[in-house]
Amino acid sequence: MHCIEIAFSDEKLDSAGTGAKNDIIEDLGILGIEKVRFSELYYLEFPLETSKAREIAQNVFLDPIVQKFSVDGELFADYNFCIEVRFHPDVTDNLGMTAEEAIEDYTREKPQGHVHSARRYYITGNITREDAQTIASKLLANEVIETYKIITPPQGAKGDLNE
Amino acid sequence: MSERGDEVKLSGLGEKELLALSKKMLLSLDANEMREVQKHYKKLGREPRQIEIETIAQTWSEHCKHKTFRAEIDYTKNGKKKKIEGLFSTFIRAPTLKSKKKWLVSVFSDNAGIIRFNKDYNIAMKCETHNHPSALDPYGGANTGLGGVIRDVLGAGLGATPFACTDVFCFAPPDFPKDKVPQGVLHPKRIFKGVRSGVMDYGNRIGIPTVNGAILFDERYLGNPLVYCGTAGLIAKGLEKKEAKPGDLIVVVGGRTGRDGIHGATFSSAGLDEASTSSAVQIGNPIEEKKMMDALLKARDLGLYNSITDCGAGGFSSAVGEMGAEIGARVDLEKAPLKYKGLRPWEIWLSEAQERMIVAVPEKKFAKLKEICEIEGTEATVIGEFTSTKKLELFYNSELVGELQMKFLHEGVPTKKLKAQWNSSAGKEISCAQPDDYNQTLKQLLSMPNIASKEKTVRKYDHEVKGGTVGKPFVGVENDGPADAAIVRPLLDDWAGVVIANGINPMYSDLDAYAMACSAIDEALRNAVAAGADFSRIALLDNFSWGNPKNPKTLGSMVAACEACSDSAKALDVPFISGKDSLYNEYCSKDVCTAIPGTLLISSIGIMDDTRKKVSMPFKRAGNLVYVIGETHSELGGSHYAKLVGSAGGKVAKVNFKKAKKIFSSLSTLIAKQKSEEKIVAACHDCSEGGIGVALSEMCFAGMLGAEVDLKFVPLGEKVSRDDFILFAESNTRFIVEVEKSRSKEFEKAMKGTAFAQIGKVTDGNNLIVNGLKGGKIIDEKIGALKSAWKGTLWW
Repeated sequence: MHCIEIAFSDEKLDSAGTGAKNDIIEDLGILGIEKVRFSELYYLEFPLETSKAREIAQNVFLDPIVQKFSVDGELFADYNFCIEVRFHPDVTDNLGMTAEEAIEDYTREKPQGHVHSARRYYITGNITREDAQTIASKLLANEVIETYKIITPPQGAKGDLNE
Repeated sequence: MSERGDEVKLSGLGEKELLALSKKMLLSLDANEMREVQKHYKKLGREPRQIEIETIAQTWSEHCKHKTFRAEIDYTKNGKKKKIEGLFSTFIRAPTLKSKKKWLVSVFSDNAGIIRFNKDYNIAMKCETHNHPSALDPYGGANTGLGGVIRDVLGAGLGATPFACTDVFCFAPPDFPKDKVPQGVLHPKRIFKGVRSGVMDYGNRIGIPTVNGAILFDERYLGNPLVYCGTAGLIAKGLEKKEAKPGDLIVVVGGRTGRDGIHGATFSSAGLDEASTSSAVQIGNPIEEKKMMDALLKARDLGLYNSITDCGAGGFSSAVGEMGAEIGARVDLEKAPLKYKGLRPWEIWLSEAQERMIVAVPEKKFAKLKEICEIEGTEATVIGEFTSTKKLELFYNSELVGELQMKFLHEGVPTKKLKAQWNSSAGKEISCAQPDDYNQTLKQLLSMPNIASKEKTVRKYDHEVKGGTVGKPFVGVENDGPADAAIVRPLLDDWAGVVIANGINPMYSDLDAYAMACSAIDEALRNAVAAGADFSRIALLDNFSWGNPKNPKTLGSMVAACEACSDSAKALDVPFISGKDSLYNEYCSKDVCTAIPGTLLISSIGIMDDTRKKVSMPFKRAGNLVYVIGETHSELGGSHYAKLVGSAGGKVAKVNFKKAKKIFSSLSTLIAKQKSEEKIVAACHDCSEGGIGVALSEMCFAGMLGAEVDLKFVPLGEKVSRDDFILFAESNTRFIVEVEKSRSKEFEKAMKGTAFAQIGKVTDGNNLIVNGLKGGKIIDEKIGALKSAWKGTLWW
């Protein structure tokens, strides 16, 4: 099982991140936000060589001109909190199903399991864990259909990962 | 556990236990209905299986059977008692059936109403609510609301091609205090943004333009936001009839079945509370629906199926159950393609997974249908066949898991008996001091959220795709003035067009539900007429969203609104062709229940033979004459001005049917007669929220021209001696019209017999100037300042 992560390389192109930042400030009134970076995740829920997962990431999901990717890593490191949102298991995941089809089109064989999509918001700024909780539950995730987890950066992380 | 499913023990249960069971299984059946089911199975000498009782519950749900609209009602109006045998048949359908208009093709019998368009084509239209799902998941709720109504039109007749969508929303104010939002309810701004993204992502991706709509705010929509979605479609003549035949295969086309939205139909027939959960939520997929639509439209043109309907609330159970109601059907549930393993037979049967349609296909045509579906990248799967047993037989791996008689399923539901009570109110006019600064008051009105520009929302929707939108949501020099109605040409080789507009005014509901409904109808008509629709070819659609009908006062106001629909339809000679209701819109938290104001959305769909004759609302040229058509009364009750000055009560705007009919037909005839290259009516705008003051401001800043008018010339229906009342009263059937200055004689001749008067002129200045009854200027404001006030409020 691998996780492919895709994001825009240039912050200026990251309209989903900027939109989330504006909503956090305007709708939730949490002002200490410096930046929000957005990424899409694809969990490939079947056994696969890492090199094959990288190949799929580059050929199926990535726009190499404007985006960057990682496999099983975090694409950004200069954040204070990262919120990852995904659907509850039984909720229809269109993006995941389309990803399965796309992988099948590329590899010419049916994937041995499902793909589940998720999304991450890497938040940089002077906010507390409680703020992150509020942002997740009041803005980014609808707990009726989605779950979220809050990730803090690993010790000793330096700068963006760039592959 | 056997795949036969659990038997549900009904025999020997008393009323209390039956009700408890209904609640526990989320059936939303009342004691009377449960007893009827109990009696039926006693006669059969067995207990119902879960799949059977679930099927009955969903077929009998308010959502599918409209029990309240068919109920027998003891109605007390102003102390007088009356019996009503069904609101729908008495007040909505009867006037249409009596009207005998030749252009009505199919009314109240199909997924959508159908009217004649030109010599080869008809138009189908449907409007739906998707309130409860949107409260839980605004994005998915709005998404699937739009997807559902598009499928309704795709399933009208043998299939209409959807070409335009409309959306009307009611929310609590977006600045509602965060700490007052109850547990389990999303903040209204979040709901607003979610719904808006849901509409955007569905409509834009499937490639159908969203051309018209409205957004209204009231605090009582906090726990119950309203989301109305409408779709219009084009269908060739002769395709309006359909009938499944015994022996036809039951084929599901489109998406796969999952656990989505189990119990959606029964859920929407209950009130919301803190514990409402995820199982009622569906997720939409516009790309899947597009593929399915393309395949089915091809199959339609090749005549590959005998009948079609969409899987909406209740999923397969309602689609198959309704299509086979007169004949019978046998379904093999294990054949349905699934999104994932582990669904039980009753879950497959009732799932409300989106993007699925059921078609009745003669066996020898199935191979061709399957081939087309494969080319379009969608699935077609046989799940059973129609029979002549008059029974619904459900199998799972060849084992009979459920068996129901069609007659009991469709006709067994006991008629509800309800009580309703209503008193009309004569109300005294509002009382408030006249404003010191009218410039300020006008700007405050323009910035009220109900009146303010919705451009930031509307621009997120693609209203141009398909290339037929000739009357756009925003018009004027800077493309930012609010159009009265949308005009769409569904056939690009024909100048004829369809005019789509709406009328809604829940603010009047508390004061006088009858006047509210008349006003909504009047507004829907005047918007359509203002844009250029042929008044003799406008049809209406009704959508009732109300509170709990078991409360006699709540039901009483709905009965009054239905009476208004009937009276208006008869007097104005305008037929209803389709409708829908959503009841139990109340939210309960900690023993306090809040119901929404009774909200009636009237959608109008009109035909115009030549869209080049359309009229838009911005002022066009300095020196032209400004007329008001229609009488102004002292009618401030429920108005935006009354809300602004904080005055409750007041006299609600009424409709004088006779005068209204004359105005509509005269103006419509004049617009249809004028030459498109030299119009007499250069601009036309309806007066509604905020009255003459707001309408004039909008015409000025849309056209980037000034105007100077005198209130003393405004035609009055009674003595009104206050400037503020004349400017801001919301009396019905009024238009502001700009007339080409050399053509005033022709205009006046055409409007003879109606109340109208020239009140001033369009100027090339930068200001809107209004002279009061006593002479002097009461308003002198830059149109830029008016526009900024109008745009400021909802600019996010």
